[in-house]
Amino acid sequence: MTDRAGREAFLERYRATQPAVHAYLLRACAGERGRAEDLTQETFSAALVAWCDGRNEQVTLPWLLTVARNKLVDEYRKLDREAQRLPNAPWAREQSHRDDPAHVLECIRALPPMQRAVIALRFVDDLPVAEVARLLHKRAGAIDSLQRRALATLRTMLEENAQ
Amino acid sequence: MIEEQIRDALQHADAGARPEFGAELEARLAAEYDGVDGMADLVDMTSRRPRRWALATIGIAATLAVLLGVGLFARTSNDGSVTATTTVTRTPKQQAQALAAKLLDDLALPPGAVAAKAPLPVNFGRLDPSTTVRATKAWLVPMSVADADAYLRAHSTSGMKVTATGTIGGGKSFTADLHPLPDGYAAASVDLVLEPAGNATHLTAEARVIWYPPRPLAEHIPARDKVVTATFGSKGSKVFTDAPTVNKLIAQFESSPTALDGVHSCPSLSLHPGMYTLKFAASPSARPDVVVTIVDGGCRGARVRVGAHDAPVLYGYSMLEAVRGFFH
Repeated sequence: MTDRAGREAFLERYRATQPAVHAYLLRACAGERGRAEDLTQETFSAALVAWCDGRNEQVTLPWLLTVARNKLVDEYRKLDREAQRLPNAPWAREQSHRDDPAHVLECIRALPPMQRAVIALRFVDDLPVAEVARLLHKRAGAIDSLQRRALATLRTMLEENAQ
Repeated sequence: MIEEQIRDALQHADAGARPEFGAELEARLAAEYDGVDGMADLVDMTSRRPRRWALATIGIAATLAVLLGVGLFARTSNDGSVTATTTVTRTPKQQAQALAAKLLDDLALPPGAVAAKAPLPVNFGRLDPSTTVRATKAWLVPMSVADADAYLRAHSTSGMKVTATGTIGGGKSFTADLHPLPDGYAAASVDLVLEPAGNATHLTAEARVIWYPPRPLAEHIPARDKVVTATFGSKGSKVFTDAPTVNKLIAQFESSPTALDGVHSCPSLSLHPGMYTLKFAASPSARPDVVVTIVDGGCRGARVRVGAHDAPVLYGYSMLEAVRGFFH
């Protein structure tokens, strides 16, 4: 394949897969656009490296979604490490009085990083607890607990809002 | 029930995608591919080393380019054409990281300072990670807090202005801001914290750089637009067709930075609170190509509508200054 043909083939693959990858990351980031755009860019930068290294057959949608998920997990783990250093984690949300999906997303974005990660992997990826535990380097019990806490917090936030 | 609500909300979370993001990233990847491929060819031709080596060489070259400050800047002029590009990609985030690292490297440290373990940056405010980078370093300085503080203030880096000071227990802190800021940046500062550590001082420096998100290509005013209609509440509308006024408003629109996400504190008071609208069109009777609505109050956000689509909000200070003069 000539360089020009290789470039065009890569961009064609990008055009065919980018909407799905970006949509996945937007859902997994609960609509947080800046973070989803950053992670999409990182995912396709990894794809470009793989492509130029002769591994172009590897750059398929399932592979890209796996890379995107790993980048998402890395991001939340990094945020979690930073949050550990705070006496009171600043994951406060802005007050909102909307009773719509956008408000639910806002509440999800206000959760601590690990709880957000669990919500994304369980509700967007539909992964079993054991797989979420493997990705987040935690025990299955810890994942259950994180999910329970996240749901309880979200329930409280949404109920408060409804009052 | 809550699970269903969550699932439903997340399923629709991709509705907030910026339509232009796909094209922006494609342009960036294409430029990256060109950079990688051109250099790979050069390496292949000269040494016939395997492709993997070529990539390693490119990595080194790219690192050097970053250190030398070569970047990718693509700007669209009034006629919609991209006017200046270079070939090595450096994202705004990488440029901000380089600036943050430079702010720390340029600190004139007191004599005898030795590197210490730096704490991870702590997100005290609601800094948007998509437009903010932070970097920290720490040192142990063999002198008292007061002496170290005096030394640092006496040897402040060129271009840095101390804008805030404070005390923390037995320690001291101050913040220095880079002034003037390079184009495209909203803030570049270093927080220095000095705490007693036995007979010495523990010095921590955190550099923080915030940049304005790049303007989307679609958010520019087409060259055919020669008429601006300004509106302010009950004071009605004024139509401008003279080139100096129209060009000035277009230039102000083009140079307005994209508003930052997150929570920012802005003065809410205004002498003339209200909302102004600017419509840019090809003729007085033509449908406007771009409609800008500026709120005189708060952060002076300017909502932008290009055709039938909303574009990212801008900071409208300069446009507001001009349009106020039309009505008051």
